[in-house]
Amino acid sequence: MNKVQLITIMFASLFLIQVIYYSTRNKLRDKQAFLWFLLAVIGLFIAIFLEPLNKVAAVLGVSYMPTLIFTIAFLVVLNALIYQSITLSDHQEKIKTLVQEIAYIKHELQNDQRKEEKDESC
Amino acid sequence: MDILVIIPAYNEEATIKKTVMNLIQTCPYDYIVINDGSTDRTLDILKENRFHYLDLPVNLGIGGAMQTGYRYALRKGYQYAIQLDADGQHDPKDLEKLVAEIKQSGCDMVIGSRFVEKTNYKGSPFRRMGILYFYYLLYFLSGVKITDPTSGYRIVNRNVMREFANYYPVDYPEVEVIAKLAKKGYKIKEIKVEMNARQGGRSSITPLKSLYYMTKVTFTSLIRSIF
Repeated sequence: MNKVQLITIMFASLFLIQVIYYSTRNKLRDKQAFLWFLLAVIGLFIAIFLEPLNKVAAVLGVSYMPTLIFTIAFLVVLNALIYQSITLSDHQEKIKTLVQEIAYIKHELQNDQRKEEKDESC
Repeated sequence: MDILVIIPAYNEEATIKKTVMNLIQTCPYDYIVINDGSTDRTLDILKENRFHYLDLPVNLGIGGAMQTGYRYALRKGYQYAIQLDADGQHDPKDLEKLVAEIKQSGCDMVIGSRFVEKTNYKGSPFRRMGILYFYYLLYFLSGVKITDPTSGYRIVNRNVMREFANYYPVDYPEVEVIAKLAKKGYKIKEIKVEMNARQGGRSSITPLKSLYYMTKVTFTSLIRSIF
């Protein structure tokens, strides 16, 4: 195991600890927590098994293994971003519906008040 | 009464009273103002005059405000819903024409158009070019000929209200919803209406936003016309 691999394992471990920390503090929840936990474990796995992965890359015809890892990592991060955007859009839609419901309920309350005022004045 | 006039209002303190009073004096239809989280005195004016309104606690944009109105119309059992701008651009005198047309023609949506026949409308050349672009875009994508696709002055029946309650674009909805309705086989028609110059307030579309507007609407219309 060389220095570079040791540093890589250290950073991957720190990232995993970070994810676990946020999960235990409820800053990351449910699916989001699991998604990042999975990514952190995969990162650590890659860092530990650099040598066997080098061989896999060679079999696939990739002469410089980090290129393969960066490409895969980039695609994974891109997908994670799309997933975040979908979640965000979903939340926006739910907030919009809630706002509309609040407006409707306020309107109904106001109508009741106006009716009461009318009844009192009669 | 089976017709509801929906008036979306965002910071329209200068015109809202006049628009609603004009509507009340001109037409017998029910109306609802959707105060879209205005930061000026719009809400105070609505309260002071005891107008009918729904008050959105935060700004949802024109699409969110209109969808609120369509959902309200559905819940209250209205058969038709009409959009009327709060800035005084739409003349309530044309409401009767829109109502008569949708009832007689059996169409699902009738749009008040500035261009289907000659009117007094004088828009900037740039705006006219934009409208012409959307006319050809819709014709190319959906095969419908709508001369004034950006007009917000439109009446819809209950079937379309249901569609809008399920999905209505948040911003720049006019062109996109035509593409969507045409794709689903709804019948759309236009009739001539006169439109006044803006009586007050600010246009939601500034020159800087135009490019974004054109590109975004082209993309969303393309999506709606295919899927």
